[in-house]
Amino acid sequence: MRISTNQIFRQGLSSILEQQSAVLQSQDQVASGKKNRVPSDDPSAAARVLDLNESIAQLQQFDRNADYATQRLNLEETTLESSVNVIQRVKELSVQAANTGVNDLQSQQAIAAELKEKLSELMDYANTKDVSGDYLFAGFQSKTQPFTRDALGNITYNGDEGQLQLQIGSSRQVASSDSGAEVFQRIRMGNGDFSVDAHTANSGTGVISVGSVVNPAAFQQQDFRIQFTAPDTYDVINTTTGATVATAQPFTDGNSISFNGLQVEITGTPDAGDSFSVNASRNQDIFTSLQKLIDTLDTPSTGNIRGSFGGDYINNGFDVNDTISFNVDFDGVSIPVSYTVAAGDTNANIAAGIVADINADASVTDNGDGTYTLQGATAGLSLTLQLDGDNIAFQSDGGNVDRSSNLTINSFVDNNGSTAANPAFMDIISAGNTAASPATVSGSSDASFAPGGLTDTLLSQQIAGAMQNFDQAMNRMIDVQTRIGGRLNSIESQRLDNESRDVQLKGVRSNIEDLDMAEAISRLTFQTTALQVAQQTFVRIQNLNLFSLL
Amino acid sequence: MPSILNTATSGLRAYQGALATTSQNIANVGNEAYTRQRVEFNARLPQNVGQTFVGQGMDLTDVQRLADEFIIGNIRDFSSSTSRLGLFESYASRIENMIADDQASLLPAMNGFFNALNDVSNDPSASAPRVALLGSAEIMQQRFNDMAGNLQGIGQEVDNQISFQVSEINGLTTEIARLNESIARISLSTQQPADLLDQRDKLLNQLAEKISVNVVEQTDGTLNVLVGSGQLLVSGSLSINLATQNDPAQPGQQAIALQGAAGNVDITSTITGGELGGLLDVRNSMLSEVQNRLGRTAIALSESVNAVHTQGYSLNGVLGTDFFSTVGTGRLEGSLGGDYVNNGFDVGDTVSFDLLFDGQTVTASYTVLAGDTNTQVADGLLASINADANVTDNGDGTYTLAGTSAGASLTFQLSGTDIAFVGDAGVAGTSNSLQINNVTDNDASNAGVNALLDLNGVAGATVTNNTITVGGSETFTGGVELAIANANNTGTAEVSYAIADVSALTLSDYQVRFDGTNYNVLRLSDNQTVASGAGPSFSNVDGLNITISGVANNTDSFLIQPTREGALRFTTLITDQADIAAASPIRASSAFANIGDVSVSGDSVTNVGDANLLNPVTITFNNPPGTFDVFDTVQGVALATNVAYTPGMTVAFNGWQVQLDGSPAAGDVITVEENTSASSDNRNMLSLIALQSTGILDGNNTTFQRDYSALTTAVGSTTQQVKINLQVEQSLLTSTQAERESISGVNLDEEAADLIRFQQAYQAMSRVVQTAQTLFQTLLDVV
Repeated sequence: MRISTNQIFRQGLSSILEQQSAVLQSQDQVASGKKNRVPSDDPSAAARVLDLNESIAQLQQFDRNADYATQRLNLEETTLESSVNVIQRVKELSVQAANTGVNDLQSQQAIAAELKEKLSELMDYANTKDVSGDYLFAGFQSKTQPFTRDALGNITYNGDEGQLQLQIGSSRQVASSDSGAEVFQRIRMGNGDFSVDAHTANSGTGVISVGSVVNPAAFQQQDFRIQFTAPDTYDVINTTTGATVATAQPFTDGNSISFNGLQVEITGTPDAGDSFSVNASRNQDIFTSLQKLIDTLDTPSTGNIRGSFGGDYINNGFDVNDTISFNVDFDGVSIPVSYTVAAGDTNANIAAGIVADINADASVTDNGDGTYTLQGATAGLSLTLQLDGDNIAFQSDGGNVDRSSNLTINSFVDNNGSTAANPAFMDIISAGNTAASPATVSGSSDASFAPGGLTDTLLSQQIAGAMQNFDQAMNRMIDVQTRIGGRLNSIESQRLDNESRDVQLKGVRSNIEDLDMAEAISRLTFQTTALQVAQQTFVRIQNLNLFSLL
Repeated sequence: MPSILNTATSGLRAYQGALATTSQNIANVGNEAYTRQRVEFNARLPQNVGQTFVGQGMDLTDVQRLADEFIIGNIRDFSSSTSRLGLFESYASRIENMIADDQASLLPAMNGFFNALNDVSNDPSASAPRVALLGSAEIMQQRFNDMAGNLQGIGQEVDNQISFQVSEINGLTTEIARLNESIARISLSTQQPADLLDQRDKLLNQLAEKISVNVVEQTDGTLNVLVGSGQLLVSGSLSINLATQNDPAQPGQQAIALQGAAGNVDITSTITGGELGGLLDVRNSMLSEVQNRLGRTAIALSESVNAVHTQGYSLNGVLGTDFFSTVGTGRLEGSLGGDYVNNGFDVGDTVSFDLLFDGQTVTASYTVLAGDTNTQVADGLLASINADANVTDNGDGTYTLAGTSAGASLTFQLSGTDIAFVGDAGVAGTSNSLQINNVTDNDASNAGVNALLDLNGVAGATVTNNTITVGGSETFTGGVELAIANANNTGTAEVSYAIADVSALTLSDYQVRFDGTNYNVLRLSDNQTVASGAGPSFSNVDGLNITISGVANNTDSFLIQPTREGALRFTTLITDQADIAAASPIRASSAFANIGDVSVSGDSVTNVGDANLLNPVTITFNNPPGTFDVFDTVQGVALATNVAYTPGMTVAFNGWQVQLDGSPAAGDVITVEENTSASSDNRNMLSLIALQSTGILDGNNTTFQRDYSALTTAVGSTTQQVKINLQVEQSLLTSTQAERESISGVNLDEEAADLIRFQQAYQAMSRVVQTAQTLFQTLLDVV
């Protein structure tokens, strides 16, 4: 074939250029350590690398999420640990209180004081905040303090039942919180199915045991009363339906009593008229359980009284312009109260009017938060009143005063022109361990709230009930702790799983995109040599020219 | 008797010519277009000398041009395809680099967004992760916008290049026509003007690099040049110009036309090969596909994130709003008006309201006169709008309010008793809305009747509430996109479309064409008719709802590019971290006082649009607890009574659903209510996170990430294919060029040999002359 001079140049040049571009590409590969520089080098590999990158990035994120979950759960676990310790101590104190008896006021007082400490400690744990200042046990409402206590000592849960789930694997979420409702609030009283109690007016020595459900199929969540008609005879009444379940059953000490699929034992000797309640288990938060025990132990000593009074004035014949009046006597101070019904008044309006009238008295201070404090004659002894729906709630503060005063409601006048025959107008509701007598005040009788006088039997019955509730609470916390442990384990195993997937994916990615360095470098060396050869050949051939010989 | 001297002279002349040709060859050794020339010698006719013939020397009869037209034609063809592929390759590599760039590509940004969602989910009440989420959304927006902007820039560059190429082609064809003319004139004799032919071949080759051509040789030596499907570009000495013009089907895009006496003829679709063909290929196949793919990813991401986010509940205690938008030029259109007269407007009463548009506030106010009709009131209100400094009276009964953004405007016009308004397309994102508020009804006599304004949204606009009363406020939003009408349409029809189902979206563009009876929706990727009918609407055609308004004439057509600008318009709408809806709008709980152990779980929203969604609802178990009642405490109505209870059942009301389980006791209560103050609720975030690994596109099969890697594969394999084809074509071109060089190229060694050969011959001839002279002298000496 005939070759033109141009062709010789062109061919030589193009082979040099080709070698150069090959050298450059290899150099690029070696410098970056990657097989492919652009997707077109290997389009499907490029897509796989992108997919793998995303999966790897996701695994790293899951790892981060797992860290968060672990952090939260660890904090929660620590808090629960401390709370369990508190309840342990509370139980010890309860046992101590049960052994002390009602007459050792000093000891009861001391135990109550420590229990109060424990209560506020437990409240603090329940209101724990995490590092970012969020409440741990408020469910989703982490900016809201979950547990608050009002002036009357009532404890409210302000959170919800929300549980934060975190994504720790592509199809795996783990709960990283438990709500205060779950941990502290929704605790079943008694044995979880039902709770037992002795009536506070019992005079015998009968004590009812915790009992258990023996026939779950027959068990119904209803309330019952075991009513002793004689020391050796009892009736069982379903207080939910009002039906009598059993009548005139013979009783001997330590006999087990069965009904509604459950079984309880009463030991000791009840008096005629004594009664025991066997109620379907309600929720009660641990704080209230504790507060009740404190009240029980407290009452015989410093004798703070709590309760409320009020009435269905409207349905009891109070008409417009009728006037209700009575005296509130507390620790030597007597406040006359009166209120005249105005048109359209509801019971709540009347109660508010009464509170306003109490506030008008010189010895009453308006605290500005809806509570009014009546200062007793004794320094440090006071009674705080507050509107509570249709009723007026009150609580005394005895301070350090031993055996504080009674609250007596007396001298009331029911100036009811039209229906004088229907004078019952005020119901007295006792709260906690405060006794009230009589329960309903009518035109001629006085009502007196006195610091209680529990018998040893009743005290031990109440302490036993409280301890049952503490056990329930502690079991719940231990349950939650166990669940946390389980979650931490599953986070760990998910983390290991993620890690091994990570390693595996990175291996695959490396196979796809990483360069075989040895091969690449030897290729580069070869290509460099080839380039040199091409250059040298080019120069050599250019010298072969007839003209140069002319 | 022939003369030695004559014979010698003939030789001298001939070899002079031969030497000249050799030196011409040597001189043009560097000229690539040059065709080597070779001299042809012919002995002169011999003279009859007695019984024999004696030669009379020789002549240089021809300088031959050693060319092979077939090979030259092949070179042209291979040049066309090589330069087409070369150009395509350069654009493909650019696009590829952009898509694959680790830092600038979309994937890290998309991963960043989902990681940020995870971080918010980890700590939903903290503001730092929320702020970071907004930042990552911004970055993702920037990536989408930047990439789409770059692609759009490439599109504009391609269009500019097309114009440039067309003018170069015109220059070349003019020159070829001129050469044709010269060649025709000279080649009347049998001789060929070699250098002109070389020049013409060179120009033809240059032309072939621009556009694929067919060359037909004429008897007079001229060449006719044809393009496309046989359109003459050069005919003898005549050249016909190409021109660029707006594509009627897609205004703003360049089409190529042949200029003729009867007007321009669009030949865009027939053009192949060359750089021009390459540019059209880049624009029509690669660029549009990449833009559509990226746009579809953006739209899918936006729509599905919005769908989940609007089901959530923000820190501000309201339902989540749209997180992203890919809605761009959707036009704002509607009207407002009222039955003022029957709604108690008496003489002296004043009606007034404010119109808020793109940062402008215009107050419309009118005091009713005696005998006013509703139309007169509307006209009075319009006059009041016109009095605003930002409103221009267009003189034809229309009034235009200019927005604060460039190009944003709203035009008002009286329409019966209503005031109609229409926005100018080109208003982007959130500013594309008209709000009406501060409605005042200064009606002294009839204060009880205050229904004042009726609102009508039409195709192209959405309005939530049809009536505004005193003090009320309502917003029109343009949400529906308008299809591009063909510039040649004669009817008044408008075609609008909206995305109905992301999972059904394809990468194709669509054409809606009216055939006199029916509208046909054609999917342009495979030319399938996907819907056909008299209209006026088609629902869920490949994920699109298409609505036609107005009257179309036969052959009117519209272009829908549903995904083309998705990435360009991708905008983050959420700017306040508190607006991030991490929580679920409702929560369900069982009452503390419940005696039974009924539990509630799985509370979720099924219809976020339900007006009663957030109402507290109680589910109370009856006695016996085999049934329950459901009560809405806001509406104060029982939603259901005596519903039979089975453990594990799902209960759904008011747009939510919950699952009940366990054994209830009589009187047990379950509450479902608004999830207020739930700053640590991350349930909606978890749903958003799940989107990352959920198949959304292509019929719920492809995740966002996969969709993007598919784009990378598509671009990568197109580029790879082009690179391979380019190599093949290039080597074909090179070998054909080698063939040509083999025939037509100058070899210096050969020329050196010729030089020596002819020089020696010339020297020999000189010696003959000398001999002749000597002979002659000898004769003279004898005489």
